[in-house]
Amino acid sequence: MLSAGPREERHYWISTYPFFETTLFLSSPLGGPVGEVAHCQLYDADGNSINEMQVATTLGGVSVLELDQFLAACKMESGLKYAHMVLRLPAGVEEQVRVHTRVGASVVGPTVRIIDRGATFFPIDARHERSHFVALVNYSLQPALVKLRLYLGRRSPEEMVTIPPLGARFVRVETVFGDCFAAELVGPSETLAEGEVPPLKSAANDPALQGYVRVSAKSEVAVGVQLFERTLVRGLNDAVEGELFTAVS
Amino acid sequence: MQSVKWLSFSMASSLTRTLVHFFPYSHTVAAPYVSQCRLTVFGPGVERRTVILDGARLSHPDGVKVDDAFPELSSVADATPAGFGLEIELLTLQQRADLGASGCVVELNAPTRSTGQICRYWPSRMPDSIAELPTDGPAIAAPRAIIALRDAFVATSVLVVNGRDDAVNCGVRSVESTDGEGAARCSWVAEPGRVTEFEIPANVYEALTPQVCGWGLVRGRTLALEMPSEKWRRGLVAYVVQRHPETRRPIMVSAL
Repeated sequence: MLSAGPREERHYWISTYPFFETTLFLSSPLGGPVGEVAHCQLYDADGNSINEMQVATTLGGVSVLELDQFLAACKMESGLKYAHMVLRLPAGVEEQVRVHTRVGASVVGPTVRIIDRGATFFPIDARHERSHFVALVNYSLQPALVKLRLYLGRRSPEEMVTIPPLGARFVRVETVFGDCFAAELVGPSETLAEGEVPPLKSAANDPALQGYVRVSAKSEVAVGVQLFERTLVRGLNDAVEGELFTAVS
Repeated sequence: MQSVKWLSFSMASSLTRTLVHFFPYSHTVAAPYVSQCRLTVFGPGVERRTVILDGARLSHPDGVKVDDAFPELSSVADATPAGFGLEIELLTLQQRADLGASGCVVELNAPTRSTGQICRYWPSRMPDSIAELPTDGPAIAAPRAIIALRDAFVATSVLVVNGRDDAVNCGVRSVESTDGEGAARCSWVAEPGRVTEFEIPANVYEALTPQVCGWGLVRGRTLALEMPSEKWRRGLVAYVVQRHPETRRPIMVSAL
């Protein structure tokens, strides 16, 4: 039974292999009729529709949908399967999107909507155990242009990114702004031999390791933004046990 | 509008520290005009106190550790597991600058910011003025749905920040029935000037058949949060918090 009430639309950047598994939780509607249907549409990185689901909410319960099974048709882009998920929820239904790895889970908030000259920001912790990627989705049928600016130390380099209509992109911050990370996180007195990889500092609590990414919309279409932080989890003997992904919720 | 305000909470225990990241931003002004960040804390054992941080500029993100601004929090922190109330306000003296598009992120982290999991969230934005608050409507707000989960990764609680001068009755109830047999209902009082965290008790999940997922068994229930209406909400916000069931470290915070 389709709801006649108002529907809320949320946009998420979701992924699967080899990063993490994504699960969607839906609440039951408060006071609404039983069997309200939530619509979930998935687009691949280039904006092609790859799947569409309808989830009937249950009275008082929580509907759980593991999304990996619906991403089989998703093409790989930059070695990763990721998608733009559009949720249309009946009034009063809340959602939660959670990502899991072998060692932990975290909740991912919906993308932050920016349009025209709008901008948003995300903090990053630039330690070598962590890496970051900006996740972008295009809400519209027109290509979208955004500008990323990194604030790290005294530098603030920029990068422009185009997102296909209804599509998605992800930008590895440490790769795109690699020069800046190398220059800011290697002390001025340290010199590198030719071809040597800069050893990133790992000193805890070093304020120089606090950075920010600012994302600005440069076209008149709505874009959604989220930032994921990947953390290596180490166990005994400093061996890497796994990794965690976190985002702003 | 020349100021914008959020109401949140700060944790300052031996396990968790708080950072506030802010982004003063205006659609109407591109120049990096000077702005200020005003932080106010309140809670048990702490006098309500405000610190003004200068040096912020429009369009430039910045941040501060809450214990650097309020060193006194560390002496009472472990006795206050739910944390302290925290108001964050951005201001500018530039008349043309509308700060309505500004952003704020609160980060809960290990004290050393070592390799532990970081929890970041968007805090609740406060109404810009009394005039924006509705003046009529029901005394009790329409309940808000909460997804309460319990599994190997998370346990769910509701955290209320009451920055007002009066106590507020809060409650959660199961959705199946408002007063029928078997309905789960819990209530608590959010004391004035306090942060109150209410963990959803295990018996709320007891009757549920766990669902089998890729990572294990999960029990989930939709609960309705009952709080006073919007009319009274100035200085009162609620968050859903998910903590690791064993370490108790916050994994997710979501503003309601």
